[in-house]
Order: sequence, then structure tokens, then C-alpha cells
Amino acid sequence: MKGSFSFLLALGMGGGMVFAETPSAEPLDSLVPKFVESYCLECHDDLTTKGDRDFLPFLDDPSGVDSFLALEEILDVLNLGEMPPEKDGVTHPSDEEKRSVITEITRFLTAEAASLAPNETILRRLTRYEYNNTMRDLLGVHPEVYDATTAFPVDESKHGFATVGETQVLSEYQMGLYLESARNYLDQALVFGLQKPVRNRYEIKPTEFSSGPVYRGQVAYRALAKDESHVDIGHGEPADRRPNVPRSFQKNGVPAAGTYRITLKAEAKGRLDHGYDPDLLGLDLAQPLKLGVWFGDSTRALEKSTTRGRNLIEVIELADNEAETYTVTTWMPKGGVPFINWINGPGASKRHVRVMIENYHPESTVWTPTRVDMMREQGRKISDEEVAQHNASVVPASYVYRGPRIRLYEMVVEGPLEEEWPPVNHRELVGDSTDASQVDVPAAIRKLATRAYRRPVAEDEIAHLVEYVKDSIGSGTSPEEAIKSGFSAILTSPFFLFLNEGNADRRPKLDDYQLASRLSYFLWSSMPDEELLAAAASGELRRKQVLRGQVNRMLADPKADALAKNFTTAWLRLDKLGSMPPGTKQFPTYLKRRLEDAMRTETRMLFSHILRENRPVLEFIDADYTFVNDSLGEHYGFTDVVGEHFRKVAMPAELHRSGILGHASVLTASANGVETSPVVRGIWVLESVLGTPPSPPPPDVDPIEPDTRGTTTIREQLAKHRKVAACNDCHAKIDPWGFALEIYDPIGGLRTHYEKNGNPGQGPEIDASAELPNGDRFEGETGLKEVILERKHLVARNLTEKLLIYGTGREPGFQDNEEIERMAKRSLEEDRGLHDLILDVVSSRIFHSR
Amino acid sequence: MNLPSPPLNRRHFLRTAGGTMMSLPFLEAMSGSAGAATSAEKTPIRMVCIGNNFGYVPHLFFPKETGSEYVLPSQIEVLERHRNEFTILSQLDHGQEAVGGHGGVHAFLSGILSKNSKGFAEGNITIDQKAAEHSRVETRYPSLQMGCGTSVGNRLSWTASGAAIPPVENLTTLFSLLFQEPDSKDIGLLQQAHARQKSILDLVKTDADRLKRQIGKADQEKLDQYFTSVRDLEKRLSQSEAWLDHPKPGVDFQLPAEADDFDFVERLPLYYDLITLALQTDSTRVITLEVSGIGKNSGGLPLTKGYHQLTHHGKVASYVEELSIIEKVHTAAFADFLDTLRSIEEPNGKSLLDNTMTLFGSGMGNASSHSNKDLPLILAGGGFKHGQHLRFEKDKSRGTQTMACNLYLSMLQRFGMEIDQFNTSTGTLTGLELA
Repeated sequence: MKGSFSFLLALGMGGGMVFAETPSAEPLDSLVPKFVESYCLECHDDLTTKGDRDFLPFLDDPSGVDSFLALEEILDVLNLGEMPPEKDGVTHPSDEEKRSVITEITRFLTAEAASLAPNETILRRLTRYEYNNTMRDLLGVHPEVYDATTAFPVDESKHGFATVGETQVLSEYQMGLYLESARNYLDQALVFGLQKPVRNRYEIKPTEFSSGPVYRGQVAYRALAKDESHVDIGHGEPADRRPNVPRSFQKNGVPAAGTYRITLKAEAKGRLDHGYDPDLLGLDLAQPLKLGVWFGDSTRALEKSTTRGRNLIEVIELADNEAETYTVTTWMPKGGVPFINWINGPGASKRHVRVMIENYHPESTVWTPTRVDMMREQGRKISDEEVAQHNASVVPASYVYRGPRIRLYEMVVEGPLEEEWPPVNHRELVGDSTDASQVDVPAAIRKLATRAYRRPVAEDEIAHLVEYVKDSIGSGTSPEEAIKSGFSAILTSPFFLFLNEGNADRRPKLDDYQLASRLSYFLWSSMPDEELLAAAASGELRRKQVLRGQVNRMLADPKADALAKNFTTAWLRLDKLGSMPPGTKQFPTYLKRRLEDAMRTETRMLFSHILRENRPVLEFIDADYTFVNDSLGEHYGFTDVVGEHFRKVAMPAELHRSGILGHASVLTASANGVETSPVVRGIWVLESVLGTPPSPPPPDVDPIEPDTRGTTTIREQLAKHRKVAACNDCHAKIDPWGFALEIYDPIGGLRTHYEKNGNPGQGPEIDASAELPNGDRFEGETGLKEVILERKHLVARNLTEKLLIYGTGREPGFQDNEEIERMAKRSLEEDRGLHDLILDVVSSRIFHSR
Repeated sequence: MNLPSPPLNRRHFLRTAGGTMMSLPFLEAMSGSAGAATSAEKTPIRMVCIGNNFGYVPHLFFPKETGSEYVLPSQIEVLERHRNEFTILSQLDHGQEAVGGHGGVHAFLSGILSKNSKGFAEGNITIDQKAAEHSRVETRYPSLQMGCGTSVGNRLSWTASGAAIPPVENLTTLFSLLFQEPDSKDIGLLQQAHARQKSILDLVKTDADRLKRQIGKADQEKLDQYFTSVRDLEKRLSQSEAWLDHPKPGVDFQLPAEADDFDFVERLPLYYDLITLALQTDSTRVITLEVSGIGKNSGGLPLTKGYHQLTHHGKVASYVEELSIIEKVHTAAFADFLDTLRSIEEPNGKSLLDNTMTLFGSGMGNASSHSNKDLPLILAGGGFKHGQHLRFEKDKSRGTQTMACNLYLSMLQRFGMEIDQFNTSTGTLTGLELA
């Protein structure tokens, strides 16, 4: 059942709802107030007010509008089995009594809900990711690698859902950014006045990365071979302060936008055969050496202080001691700068190269004055001449160093590869000529507006745009500027930025075009394609078979990855991932192994898998498999997962992980980067998994100030907190859900002990047992999973509801409950899976209503 | 561990290398341009708000004693030399409206969480944006948002429509916004671009009028936001257009070429330098500076743990010691900033410090317990009577407390606004008087 929030919304306090003044349903049967008097009032009256609840006002007028909230809460706790609590001296109703009260409250509230005006979606605009995807499909630009919206403010979200119109905001600041980014994308898409760019082939020699050998340990290790046949790169990390940029591109980048092919001949050296004492070398070489191939969107992206504007094209695992040729293809903007790095390298090379030289390569050791003093103190007789002689004959370190490094023989950058001119985007938008004065202005405006507004447009809707462009040209503005301004107006128009779903008073159901947009923003986070618009135009889209056909087609399209990505982000609150990133000192692998990206990928892939295979929705809870690459696998304790690519693996029981509750993404997002809290993770389980958010903390409670000097665990601190009666009422319902997840550290790694003063595993042992308010006891992640699966109807209900929020841009109201319940119940039937649930969702009355 | 010696003061180096900052020819450069502070009567009042993300260790920040005879605790000891130029305010916060641990920090300057902003007349507008409404037409920039290591979730500045304004982090960009003259060709292009943008806004208004007739009652509020955004943007474009004709002030200040690559400890003072110059040249009268993270290389400080990790010190002595190193960098840079403001005399015969109210603090009261209560707050300059530690009454059992927004209301009134309410204020701040 829903938490208190939705009902307030239905009552018109959140969503601008029209609310019936007098309840119109058959009044509540007296059995409910009698029940409340017998079983609830002892603790929830005006004297005790446990949990801040006083039911006396409710008893005064049980059927009154002020009682709806209380009734919904009572329904919630009865359904969850939370109340009355398992305590001495508390009288319990029989199951029979509970059932009849639940039935009566449900009847009453449902009848009341029916008398409310329908809930409706508030005019919503495209979120930032929807805007970008739409630009991609509308203009053929590349926001995924060249994003013009990086200055956009973060979308405000309702419990993680940025699509909710009610919560969205718009400001003058953002309006300005819409103008700028529209222009930016148009500049990319249109090639007025440009010649077809010459296809260039840049053969980048090793000398472009380094001018000579490395003499001793340096922070950046870039060593040119004696014969200049290769360059060795011995440093690097994901957020590289010293990336390797070919000299030809250091100033200007590539001269034209387009698709480029980058070919690299490279190998890994010295990973397994360096022959040094591994402890002395002190590098983690378990993974193959990986070559990161990148481009910066301009030379600014290469400044030391930033990683903004850098795009990772591909990570190549290099074969050991075997030079191979690798090819990657990418689109780059004009001015794009391709570069490479050793992405899983040691950061800096100074320390270990110096130590290896000193310990293994006397011929490369420079006799510095200090060293000479030391040698003389040790009794060696060395003349100044000998010193000079030695130093003159010192062999450069890089000629003898055998440690791990990436060897690059050649890099070839070739492009733009596009054959057609003008490019297809340009032709789609303005026709075959690159001469702006040749453009059929009315036709071009009509075409773009039709696609941008996602429906047919009437002539008088674009008349002012056509007139403006023509007048501007007439008064001396260049045709290119005039057309781009007219187009910018379309891309800043409220008809483009907002999903116009009409007026609910006149038409509560969506029309075909509105439905097409809702569908495509749900499944693709982008605009409808031609086929979907054609289905809308035919007037057939709302027919069940046509609709299902479209949904099946759309889900099979790669664009549906957007659903896996954006829905899981909202549903599981992965928007919080990266907002308080774990420190590099405490959790070095988080950055070094690029775990954050890997974590997101895992969750996304599980969703896609369950959807594609139409697996039962409960697999989100108990999947005994997951998706990992080498880094994430290592994080989870796998020893046999090699390579960058993600693959499905069975999850052995001893790794204590299954379903989303074991996903590092979720466990990191529900911690704060430094420590874990059963409260935060407990709330996460209640909100994201069970859909029963706890009530907010009562006013003026002091947060717990941790004291980790002793050996108090968070559990002990919370136990103290729960001794305060006011705290216990809620925390007894929250904390247990989080205790079992304490076996995972702040980035989701398995642990048996807490840390102490920064030392992992040195603190007290983890106690993963818990007791729910109804007396159910469980332990660890398997126990947690069991108690969650005992509440599988809540899991299914929650997922159904979250899909609807995401897809419709509004939170369901009480009047939607019955339909949601029905879909949820159905989804738990045998042989039904996530794909079926999504079909049910898009076929529901809720999805088709404003 | 041993505490390090105070970090290198970059500015001292810059001063000697780049000539004296005090002799800036800004008055000449600005004379004749609109809104320049040219006479004693017209010397404007300014507002600067500095916020960090993790607060300060409370018992090392707030003095034990109240009144004027207090002892400065370790984190703010460096401010001793300014004792009579600032006030420490304790037991002020935003009550129930702004709790949420790290998620409550963004309410620092508004008193209201963005998600709760619906019920308020001006949403969760922050004090700086409110002030900018007042002074916006007078200066090239209505307000400036700077950030030295920022975090998306902790924006300092919010508009009345509930949108966060991301700060500019890049020092070179900030410098060029303030002082670098675009060449005349670019000015021409900018003028054309502004004119075009205004035409585009006219066009979309036509669309919005049409849409207005198609949507329901509940949607009108959203579309109104669209209209407001368009109108406000038109205003902004007109304003920057007007300023295009005015040359930017010239300053005798050189930003080190590598400034943006510097470590935190060297970078932080440079933001304060730019704030000073921006105020002195009257390029803006309202500035916020967000300082959230210390960035790479431990910010150039001798630390063994991360900043965030250290704030979760759990009272462990070694954690608190290392954390203090960072917190003292914050207060030391602030103290140096006050030195500079004090040394600059303005046409009304007062110092820039007297003409600038600076709020220094955080939306985090105690990071170790994730508490947004009892915010660390220091108010300096601005012509207030200073030299005290004011502790405000707070009685949990009776639920009485003083809202931090009372302080903000007092500041806004001092800024010249005739208002008697700001967000959750219940009045002006008792005990804070004008000098």
C-alpha cells in the first residue's frame, strides 16, 4: 500500500487536484473505529501519541476527509503486519478481525477515490537526458560524446524521478542555456558554406609522444626507443593528469567534425616477465595492461586540472609481449584531440622506476653528490674524476628498465570517413544544398517543427517563424543566421520543450500523438520515430494489438537501453551515486578500477536481461547470477573474471550476494562514501524495494554523533537511540532492514568486521541479524531476501508503481491503487515477466490518462 | 603528527611579483560608466557569502564565552587580528525546514530545501539572489557564483524558481569574465547574437500564448514559469547588451598562467583575490563562493585521509587533527581576505571591508553527526557593530529558536532592501546592530 504521500497528493495538496468537499461514499462501517479504539488507542491518543500519531480526532469523525490520511496509514501498517507491535501487554486482534478491517477501509477509500477528480500529469518538460537524446534523433548530433548541456542545472527530482512535472523547475538561467545549446547543436548539424572536408590520414610516430629516453624515475614515463621505433608509456590512471597527446594535435585538434578511425599498434611489456622483486616493485599487475583510447572535445579537456570534456572511446587489453594492431572508430567534433593512456597504470612512475634502477641497474644509477658522500662514508674511495666518468657513461634508465609499460609503435588517425556531402543530417533538415540562400524556408521550418513537436503542425503555428526568417533575410541578415535562428526558436519553443498532453478537463485521455510521445519517452527517453508517428497518424495506436506491436518493436531497439539506464537510476536512487564519491585514500579501487561505471553497468544489464528474457520481476531480489567485468568481479571476490567486457556469471553462495540488494551500485548509493548506516540502507529498502517509505523524523531530534574512539558499533549506537521512545517507534521499523546489509562496506565490498581509525577489518565484528517489529527474526543477506520475498506483493506493487511514475510523469493517486494492485498481482503469476508487466503498464488506464 | 606550518601565501608572492594591488586604476577606468561607484554618496554596499560543504568541528569553532571577552578557539584563532571586524553567531540554523545531512547543505543560504520550496512565496531563493534582485541593474553582473572545488549536490545559489546556479570554477574563466575585454569584432558579434536571441524569445512567446489556451488549469503554473524565464532572460540580455558598450575595468593583476592547476591551498586565495577585484571595480555587488572539496593531491596538504572521511572523525584525535589542518586553511584564507578588504579605501572614506558584508559559514552544523543544526556562521564587515560572540536562545523543550533567516533578513535590509520577511525569518536578528 502507499505511504501517506500519495493520498495528500490525491487530496489536491500536491497536484492541483479538484477535491470533493463532502465525502460521497457510503460512510465507514463502525467496525473500523471500534477496532482502532480497542487496539490502537492505548498508544496513539493525545497523551501517549506514540510515533506522533493521535487517533482521537479520527474517532470524532471517522468518515470525514480529515480521516483519510489516518485510514491510509492504518491500512499500511496492518498490511505490513507492523502494528500492533509484538510487545508484552499489547492486545492483538484476530486475523479475522484484521482482514475485515482491511477490507472495509479499502472499500471506503476506493469509493472515496472514485469521487475525486482524476489525478493528472502536470505539464512536464524534457529532462536533460531526454533533451539530449531528442537532439540526437532530431538533428543527428552526438550528445553522448559532445554534450552541449553540461552547464544545465541538475534536474530536480521527486524521489529520484526527474520526469515528474510537478517537481520540475525552469529558470531564466536554464532558458539561456536552451538557446545556447540549441544553437550549438544546430552548428554541428548544419554545414552551410562548408566544403566537404578532406579526409586526412595522420601517421603519428613515436617521436610525437616523446623526444628521447627517460634517464631516471620521472613522474611521467614516456621513453622513446633508441631507434625511435616505439615509445614506452609507464604511467597512467583513469583521470590522468599526464595523458599522452600526439604533438600534431596538441594545439588544434582535428580540423573537421566527423567519424574517425584510430589504429594503434601496441603491446604490453614487462607485466609478467619483469624479473624484479614484486614486493619491491609494488604494483598491482593482476589485470592485463589496458590502453585507454580517448578524445578531448578541445585542447582544454587536456588541462591538468580537469577531466571534463574527455571521452573514453575504448579500453583495449593489450597482449603481453605481442604487438598487435587495434582499431577503434569514433565521432569527433572539430577541434577534437585524440589521445591515449595506460588506464590501469600506477598513476606516477617516479617511485618504482627509481627503486628498480637503484636495485637492479647500477649502470643507470646517477652518482649524485649525496650518493657520492654516502658511498665515501661507507668507505669506498672514489675520486671526483671517477664520479664524472661514471656519470658521463650512465645508461638511460629506459634502456634497461624492465618494469610494466605500454609499448606503442604507431598511431594512425584517419578521417572524416563520411562519404556523403552534405551529410545526411544536413540534407534531412534543409535539403541538398550547402548554400543557405537555396533553402526552401517554409518547407524546412514545417518539417523540423513537425518532428520537434512530435505531431502535425498547422500552417498558422509556424507562420510567425517563416515570416521572421524571411524578414531577417530581407533586412540583410545572412540566410544561414536567419535559418538557424528560426530553427532555434523551434528548439526553444514550449511545444518542443514540454510534453503537451492537453487539457484534462476537456479530454482526460491522451490522443494518439500524445500517447506516441509518452511511449517513446518512456521506452527510449527520446522522441517518437517515424514508424511510431505513422501508427499515431493512422489512428490505430490505441488498439491493443498495434500498441503491443509497437512496444515490442521499441523494446527490441537499442534505444531501449535508455529505459534500463534512466529507470534504474530513478527507481534505485542511483542518482545519488557519485554525489558523495568515496575518497581515493579510503577506497582507491573506486577510481582506479573505474568501479562507478562498472556498478551502473551491472545494474543496467540486470534490468535489460530481465526485460529481454521476460524473467519474473522477483528476480530483481533473488537473481543468483549477475553481470561483471574484471574490476567489478574482483571487487566481489571472483578470481576468474578476466577482461573489460561484461558477462553473465553465476553467483556462488560464498560471495553472499544476489539480486539488486547485492549490487555495489545500490550499496554505494545508499552509503555516503565514508561509512555505512543501517538507517539509510533501511530507508532505501523500504522506499525502493518495498515501496513503503517511513515517515520523516519527528521535529527536533538530535542526530547521533558517532564516537568511534571506543568499540561502539553503529548497531550499539542505534540501540541507544532506540531506547528513546520517540525514536524507537520509527527506528524499530527502519533499522532492521538495514542491519543485514552491514555486511557490505560503503562501496559494496563484502566485510566481516568494521574498520577502526581507517584500518579496514580492525574494528568490531559485523552483526547482521535483525528483528522486525512483528517479531520476525532474520540474519544476513539470505535472511533479508527471504523476508522481502515474503512480501513479494509489495515488491511487485512498488515496481509497477515506479514504472508508472517514470512513464507518466506523475505519482499515482489513491484512485489509481486498484489498477496498480491488479497489475502487480498479475505480474506475480506464473510465466509472467518484466516484459509482460511493461505491456500491462502501457495498456493501463493510468498510462493512457493525462 | 605535527601540525604543518601555515601554507604558502600565494598572494604575497603575487603582490610583490605583480605590483601592488591597492593602486588599481579602477576608478578612472570606471568613471563615466553606468553605475560606477564614483562618489561618496554612491559608494555601494556589497554582499559576499562563502560556504563550505562540511562545516567546522563545532567545539573548535564556537567560543565558550559569549559577548566581547571571548577566547578564539583553534579553527578561528587566525581571525584574532580582525576581532572587532566580525561577529560569531551561534545556535542559529534553519530549524526543521532544512535538515538532511549532506542533503541539507544546499539550504545554507535559503533556509529551505529545494524539495520543500513549493510552499514558499519565493521558493528556496537564496540571500544572494534576493540581493541581486535589488542591485542587478547597477553592475555588469547582477551576481557572480564562484566555486573552488564544487559538488553538484551542494549548490549555494538558488533562484526563486527553484533552480540551482552552478558556480564558475575555472579561475581563468572568472578573470576573463571580469576583466578581459573581448575584441571589437567579438563585441559586434555578441551584440548581433543578443539581438537574435531576443527575437527568438519573441517567437517562442507566441508559441507559449498558443499553448496556454490548450492546457488545463493545473498546467498554467508551469507555463507561467516558462513566461517568467523568458521575460527574465530578456532583461538579462538587455542588461548585458547595455554593458557591452562599456569597457571592462583594467586591473593591475596577473593570474598565474597555471592557476587552475594549482593545488587547493594555493588556489583558494586566488578566488578571494578575484572577489576583491570584482567588488572593488563594482563589476558586481553580490558574490558567492562555494568551497566543497580540496581536490587532488590532498589539496597540497599533509593529509593521510580524505576530507570527507576526516569529517566523519568520530572524535578520534588523529582525525580531528588532520581535519583541523583543512579547516584552518579555510579560515586563514578568509582572514587574509579581510586584510585585503580593510586595506582598500573607498570614495565614502570607509574601507571596502566596511562596505562589504561577508558571511562565512556552512549549511552543515556538525559533519560527524550529519547535523544541520547550529550552523557555523561568521558575519564580517558591512558596517555592522562587531567584536562579539552572539549566542541565540534555543530551547528544545519549548521549541523556541532563532532562525538563521533572521540574520539574512538583517543583511538584506542593510543591503538596502525594504523588506520585512525573507523565507523562514521571523524578524530581524536581535543583537546585531549597525555601527
